[in-house]
Amino acid sequence: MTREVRNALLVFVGAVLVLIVVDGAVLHYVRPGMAPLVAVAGAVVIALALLDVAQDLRRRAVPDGEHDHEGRSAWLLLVPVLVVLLAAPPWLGSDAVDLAGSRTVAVGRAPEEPLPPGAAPAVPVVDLVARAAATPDGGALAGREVTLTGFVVPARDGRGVDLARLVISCCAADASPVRVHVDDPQGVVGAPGTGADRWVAARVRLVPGTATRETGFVPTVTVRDAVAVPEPTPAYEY
Amino acid sequence: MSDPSVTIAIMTTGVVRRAGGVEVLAAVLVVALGLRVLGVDPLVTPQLRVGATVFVAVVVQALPFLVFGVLLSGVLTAYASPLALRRVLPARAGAAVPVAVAAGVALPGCECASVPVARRLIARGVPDAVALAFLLAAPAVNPVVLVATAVAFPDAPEMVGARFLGSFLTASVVGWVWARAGRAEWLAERVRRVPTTGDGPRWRVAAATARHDLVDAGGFLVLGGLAAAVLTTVVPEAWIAGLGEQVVLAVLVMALLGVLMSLCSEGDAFVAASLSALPLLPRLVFLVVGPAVDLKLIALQAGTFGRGFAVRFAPLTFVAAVLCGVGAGVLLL
Repeated sequence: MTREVRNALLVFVGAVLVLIVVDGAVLHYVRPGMAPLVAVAGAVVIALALLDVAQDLRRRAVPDGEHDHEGRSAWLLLVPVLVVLLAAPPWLGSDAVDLAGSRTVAVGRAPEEPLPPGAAPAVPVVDLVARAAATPDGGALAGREVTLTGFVVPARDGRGVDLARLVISCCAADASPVRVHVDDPQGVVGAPGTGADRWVAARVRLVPGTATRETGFVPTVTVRDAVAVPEPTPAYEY
Repeated sequence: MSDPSVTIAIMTTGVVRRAGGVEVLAAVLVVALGLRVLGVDPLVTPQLRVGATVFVAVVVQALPFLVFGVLLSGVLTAYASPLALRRVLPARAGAAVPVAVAAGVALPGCECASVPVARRLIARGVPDAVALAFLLAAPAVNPVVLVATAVAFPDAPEMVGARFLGSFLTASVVGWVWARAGRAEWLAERVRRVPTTGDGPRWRVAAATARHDLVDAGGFLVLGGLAAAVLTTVVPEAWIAGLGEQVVLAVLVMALLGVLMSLCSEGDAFVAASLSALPLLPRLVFLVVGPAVDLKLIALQAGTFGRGFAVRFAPLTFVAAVLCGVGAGVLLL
């Protein structure tokens, strides 16, 4: 690989890193806190390449035929550039929930703070699961109605549906599903989406004592109503 | 010669030679953008959709750390004299190994950052074994990783100490074994070479080194990310189901998963915590093995230190990490 090609390749790699931060796609892949680092890394990569180009221009030397020892492996850097440009990999969704099988997110420490005020405040799914698992009656959730936003997936035993989100702790490679089973005899939540995920915001109430080891820490909620909503940004919880 | 892929590879190489790489690069990008404009979506199956996102995620997550690492390695090459490094480290490699491991604790890097740094330490005359101990310690036992582990296991705080001990032992043991049995010629000869940049200010030497290491390691990082994406979408869940009772088997499966999944050391504790059907010991082994040896790291190391190195270092590290992880778990869990 000539230095010319190498520098061009580095500029492309850096540009893609900066671009995905600018258009927000970076959140499909990593936590929001990483986004500035990704942009800085992209800028550094571009700067490293341009420094070399500038030096060549100043020397007025023709770099043709001047080979570094870098092997063909460097061409592999083109692969993520092409994948991002051509395929723009989307948010992980129910496909990833299916692949994760029975794995559900770790039950972390339950949040200490009280629920937001108001009727049916919005609560992250992972937050509800952690609170429900921490105490049998769900602590602050006891008797409260809350609004959950998630996509509809088939329940693990095939009976009824769950609301699910994916939780990212470092990057999308470690995405773990978090689910809430919906006790919904009237079918207000509806069926899982076909093709694309179906997102809903549902007003629910925790059924106390349902997030146990036996249920894999998947609590059950009763649902009052549910409305279809567009996919939120970010689609992950953290 | 009838293999079509070989023919295509030869033709492509020929075309690349004749047309010049820059033209090929431009053509490939134009075609890709054209297909995008035409609305061609190559992600037609669930596995492809998940795999593509996981692949890009591994690469995007790792690149900032790799860039940080190559900048550090550039600065190291340009500004730290071999003499200064020799003064900091004990003269005997055996005694210097724990010092290097301790230095790794203080440097909160990710595994991708420590590979180029270890390479330049070797180029600056640090004994191989000492640099390799640092390579293993830096991503595994730094404060960020330990805090993440504590957050992921709120009900089992002993996991933090056990992980620290297991990873500390792994880095030290591999360092000592390499000091006794390792041979200089197993590392590619280029590792010890300082890039020729002619004369120039030191920052230019630093930039040239950084650029060099980035291109060397970057391609292999991509390879590791591809492998990890394929394997995480194809393999794991069926392996884990029903392992709860068989601890020995669970330890081995989790050790292999640590290698295959190639998670970053700051996030793997959460995945380990999510596998709540398993006892703590196999999950600890997963956390000790993963940062020391995984597909992404093997690829990076093969690219940086040469294949002859990787085929020896990866199995050695794997065995050491499994044994040290089990040892630490038996002691502390």
